[in-house]
Amino acid sequence: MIDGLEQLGFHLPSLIIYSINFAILTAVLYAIAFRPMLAGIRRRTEERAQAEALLREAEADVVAQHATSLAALAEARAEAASIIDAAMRQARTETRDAVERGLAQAEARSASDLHAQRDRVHAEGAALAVAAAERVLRQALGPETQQALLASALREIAETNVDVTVPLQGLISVTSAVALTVEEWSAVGDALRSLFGTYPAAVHHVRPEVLGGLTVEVGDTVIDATVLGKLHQLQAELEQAESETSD
Amino acid sequence: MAHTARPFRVRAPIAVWAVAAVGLAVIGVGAQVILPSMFEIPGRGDGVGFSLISNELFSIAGVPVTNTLLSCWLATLLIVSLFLTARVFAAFGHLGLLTAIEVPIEAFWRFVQGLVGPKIATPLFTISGSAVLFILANAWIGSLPFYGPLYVTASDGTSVPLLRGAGSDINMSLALALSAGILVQFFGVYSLGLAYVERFFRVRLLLKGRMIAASAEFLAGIFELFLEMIRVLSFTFRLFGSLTAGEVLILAIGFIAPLAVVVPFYGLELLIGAVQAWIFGSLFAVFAAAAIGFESRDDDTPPGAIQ
Repeated sequence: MIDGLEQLGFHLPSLIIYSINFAILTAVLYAIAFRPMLAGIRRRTEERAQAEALLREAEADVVAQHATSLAALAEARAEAASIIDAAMRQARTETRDAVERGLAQAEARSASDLHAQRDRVHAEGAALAVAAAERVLRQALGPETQQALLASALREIAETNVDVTVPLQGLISVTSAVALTVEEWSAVGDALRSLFGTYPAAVHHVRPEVLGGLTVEVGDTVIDATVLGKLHQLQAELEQAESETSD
Repeated sequence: MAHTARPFRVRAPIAVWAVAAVGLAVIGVGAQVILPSMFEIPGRGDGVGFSLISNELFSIAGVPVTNTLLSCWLATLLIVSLFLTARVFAAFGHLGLLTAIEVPIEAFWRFVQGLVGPKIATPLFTISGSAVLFILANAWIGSLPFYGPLYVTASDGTSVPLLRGAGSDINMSLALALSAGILVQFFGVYSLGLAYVERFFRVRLLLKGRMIAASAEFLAGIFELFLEMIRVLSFTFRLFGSLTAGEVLILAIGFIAPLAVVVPFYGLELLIGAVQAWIFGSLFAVFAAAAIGFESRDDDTPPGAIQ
């Protein structure tokens, strides 16, 4: 085998020199090329590792911030939902209160209107009743009845408690449904004297619409002893009685 | 001093360019004018011949210096000069040349590191990377025009070529292959200890008294050992054959055809030289990886752990 190699040029000293040459080259290359280059590669690798670590940290930060943002968003949504719910509840409450108030006011207005209407109806009914009674009385009152009513009115005037200190300003106005005879006018004078303590000056008016009886007016004071006054009093009492009954 | 990385664009100072221009001029003039007057240049009429044995030019202390060894030293000087020049340029702030050199080397570093892991990556890369550069330089330098035509009178009085590509010298191929083979075994022992030796000398079954199985195992171990030796020879003749064949091809084509026909073959030789250098370095790393653990590793697993 060695002979075959020698025919191809094998020469042990040359082999050794080539080996030494290769070893020297390897050492020199390691010193001037590979070692600095490997140091640079390791430095770049470390820098890349550091950059990747920083990148991973940044990614983790981004993920954490994203999670925080999502949590804050969820919290904000929950808070908004809570606010909306509270506002809705408050709005419902206020609406219900407003509706109840409106209903109450409407009911009150309706009741008031109903009362007013009912009072008006009562008044109209009483007025109709009084008018009917007035018409009936107007037809039924004869001379005798007029005298009886006059006598009754004179008693009533005499029984009236009038403040005698009322200054007699102007004339006393006496109103009757029919003309008075002298005796009747004298009786009226007596009644006035018993009322005021003296015979005051008085004028007489005839107004058939009072139906019967007398009316004495002294200033602002009116002593109504007429049939019409009785009817008006009756009407007022009817209205009051019906109103109290409806309430 | 921090340097900013730039694209590969050499902008050396004028002085550096001047030195480079003068150097190239000297080489060109020397090759074309001076050297032919100093050395013998045979004509076509002298015929063509090729010997596998390199020619001894002279001897130093009894050690013969052949034309391939001289070429090998020249290639070594060129490699070292290239890196020193790149570092000088880098010191001036011009990183283009250094970057252009470092990019493929860094690729080879990552390849080796991926194969064997961090423990022996640096020494293996240093040796296999040096082998790649060494083979590449010796393959390419043999394609220079003044390789072959320049003849000198050797110590024995014969006329021999002054320079000849070291790739055609089996001693260079064998030196590299032996170095690789020995270092592969060293890495195996360094990583696995006696377990690696036991791969070739399997005596466990013998100690247990199982003679038949032990005999088979022992024989398999011997075959493994034989395979390692064959691997060295395979390394040697692959490299030697490829580079020598290229040189013979160039010589033959140059003799029978004009220069224009030879030029494509020069390009082919450059490619073959690069491929052979890469294959040698890669196989070196792969064999070392197989020796330390049979599996490629990218992690920090201890090399002794067989996966």
